[in-house]
Amino acid sequence: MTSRFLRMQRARASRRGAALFVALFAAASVAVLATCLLQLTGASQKRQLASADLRRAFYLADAGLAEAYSGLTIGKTGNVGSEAQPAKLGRGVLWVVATEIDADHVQLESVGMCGRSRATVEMTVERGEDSVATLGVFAHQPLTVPAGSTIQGFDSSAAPADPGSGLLGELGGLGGFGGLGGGSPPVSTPAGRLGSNGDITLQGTARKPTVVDADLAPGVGHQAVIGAHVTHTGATAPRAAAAPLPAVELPFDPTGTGVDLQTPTPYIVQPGDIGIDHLTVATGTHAIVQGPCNLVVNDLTVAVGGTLEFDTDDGAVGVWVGDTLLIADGSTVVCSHTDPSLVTIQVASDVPARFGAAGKFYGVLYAPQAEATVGATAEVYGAFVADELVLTAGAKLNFDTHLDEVGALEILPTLLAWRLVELESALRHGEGSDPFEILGVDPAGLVTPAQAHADVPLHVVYQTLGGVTMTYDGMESGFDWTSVRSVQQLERSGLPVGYRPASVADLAAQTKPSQSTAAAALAQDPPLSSSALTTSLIAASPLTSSELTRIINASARFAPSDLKLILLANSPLASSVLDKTLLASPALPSADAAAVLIASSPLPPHIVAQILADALSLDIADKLAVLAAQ
Amino acid sequence: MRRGRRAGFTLIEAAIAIALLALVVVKVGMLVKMRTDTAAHENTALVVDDQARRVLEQISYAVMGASRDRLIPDPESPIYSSELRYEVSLGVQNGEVVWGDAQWIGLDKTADQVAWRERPDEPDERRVVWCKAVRPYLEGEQMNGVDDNGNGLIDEKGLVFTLTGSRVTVRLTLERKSETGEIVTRTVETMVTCRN
Repeated sequence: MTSRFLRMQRARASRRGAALFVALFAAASVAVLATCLLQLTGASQKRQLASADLRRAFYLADAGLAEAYSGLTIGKTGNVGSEAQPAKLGRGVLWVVATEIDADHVQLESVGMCGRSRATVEMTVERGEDSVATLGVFAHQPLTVPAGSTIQGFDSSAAPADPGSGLLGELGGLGGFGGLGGGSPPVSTPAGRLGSNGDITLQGTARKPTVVDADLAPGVGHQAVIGAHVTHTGATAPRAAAAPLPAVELPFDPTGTGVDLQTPTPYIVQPGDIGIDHLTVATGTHAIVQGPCNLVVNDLTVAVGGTLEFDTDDGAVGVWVGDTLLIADGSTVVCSHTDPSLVTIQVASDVPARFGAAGKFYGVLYAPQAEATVGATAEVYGAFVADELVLTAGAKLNFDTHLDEVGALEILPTLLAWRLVELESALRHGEGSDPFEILGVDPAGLVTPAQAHADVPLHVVYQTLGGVTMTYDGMESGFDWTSVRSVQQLERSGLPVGYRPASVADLAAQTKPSQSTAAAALAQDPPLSSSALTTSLIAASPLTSSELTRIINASARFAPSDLKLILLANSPLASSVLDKTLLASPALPSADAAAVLIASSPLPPHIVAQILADALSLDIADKLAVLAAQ
Repeated sequence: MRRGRRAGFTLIEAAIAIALLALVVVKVGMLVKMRTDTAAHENTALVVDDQARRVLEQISYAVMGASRDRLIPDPESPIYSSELRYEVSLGVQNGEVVWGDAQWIGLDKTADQVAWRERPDEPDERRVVWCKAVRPYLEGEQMNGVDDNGNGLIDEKGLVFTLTGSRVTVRLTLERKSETGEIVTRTVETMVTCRN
């Protein structure tokens, strides 16, 4: 009995170890399985995260290119941040290195980093060119406008499609307040542009008065002389810098034999690249240049009674004249469209050129080295630029303001090539789990891409909000774009920059506080004092029309002088805001209201009409001052 | 007397216990198998999905650097193609864009794998298979001369390129059997703009 009991005791003792072993084995198995599962899930998640980070890095690099490109469009270098001090965007960073390949080409290499991924993309752009067509009617030499001439402006984008309607020609010199439309609503005509690198002289006689509805821009140190019997509307300030006139280069050699037209059957210059020695349109003959066409010709002659037609139904026509351009008085030029950007005639030589054709020529004529004569019956709609411009009494030249928009597009850099340089999902070099650790930078010290553009020396001649012309020379970071009303000259790193009016808003947007600041300042509780509110709103300027309307509606919260300061800081004001300002005129003393109106001049016709009709509470002196500014 | 009270189970008790145990084991086994099958199916689906997306991304990055004017054949919509020959820019030299060697993406000879080729049909051609298991026809499509899946294309293959303007639409269907023998099909689609 005893021995059996002892055996059972020993057996129990041996089973205790087995249970522990089984339990441990089970626990270990579960742990291994769980670890495997976790690893599997972790690896899958890691792969997905790496893939997402790679995509984000690519998008960051692409955003860097976009930022650099937008910088190039306003004359910046294209450099955005650097590897040592990148720009921060979201959870990643980016920087762009711009390399000048040559005078015309810039290569932008943009790197984006997110997580442990890195992407590099590269873009090469060709710099845009400043269009000489935006010079308007321009001569490098001193320019004299003889008696009986008419120089105006028009906007071809708003013109009727039918060039024969004559509406544009009938628009009188009424300064921007509309033309006489035979009972139709007034049509607003923009001012023309008449410029020179020398003096400008406007002549007129009692029998042959001259009408110049255009801004006069004489050369640096030169002046505009306006004689008797001249009706002039527009500015007369001299240019801030001489306008260069680049020489014309023929795109290809005119190797074909010449064409002498003898029969009245129209001769058609076919679309494409055509190079011929000469094209002579004799009396009673008719030549049609069909676009799209690049015609290079040594001599282009249209005799009295000859007709030269530009058919731009299917595309633009470009004519390059290597030697002589002679479009005789009494000949005819016909254009199928009223868009001057569709027809360009460029003269490469210094042989005197003549443009005397009757009929309306919608195009751009450019002869940078030649003396060009405009005949008495000529009517040019577009731009006319020459070394020396000789206007015959009776000539009519009309600058198309739409060419400014076309020119603004030409200034934009053009994309030549884009390529993906590198996509690396797990960086082999460096340590860390995010780009800040990898690069060793403090995210708190990084700026946004818009603020990370390389600082460059800036030279700008501009008009302040108060209408004063100022010059700034220094680093761009030290310049306050919010104080600029308009720019007359802009150079970055010593290079002239094609300036577009819209750029001021773009530039100011990079430095000014968000516009929502205005709404926040107005809604602040407890309400800010008039001066504090004014300081805040001026800092947030330019404000939108709706914000300004809101401010005028709350004019009781401002001292009159503070309200004036805010409105001046946002001048020129939109028509809708001006209406509100006038309604709020009791809140503004006469002198302050006049200052606001002058800063927003030229005023819309209906406001001028109200001033003339004494509908506004302006003192007589203030009223005269406002009218004088128109 | 004490011997008659020894602890233990009768044969019937033991049989019932064993039967119940067997039932439970079978049920648990079935449950485990079902779960395993589902996991295997899901795993295959994830792998196919992941692979399809990765290949689509590779194709996107490749086509992005191409020039619209240098795509061969020109798969102007609604005509389409299962292969694309293109060139990517290497940069600009003397004002002119420099183009790299011709590259090719498409269904390989076996028609079930996506391949990338550099300098195709040249003696020094380089070829990389990007993925296998491409479905013979795009999901929902059959070889019957009809647009079965309503995407505007008729009898399109498992990899298809269509081009509208400078945008290339890429569609890819991968199909694979899971361990359980079930067919897993995944279709992905993207639109890429040629930057050059």
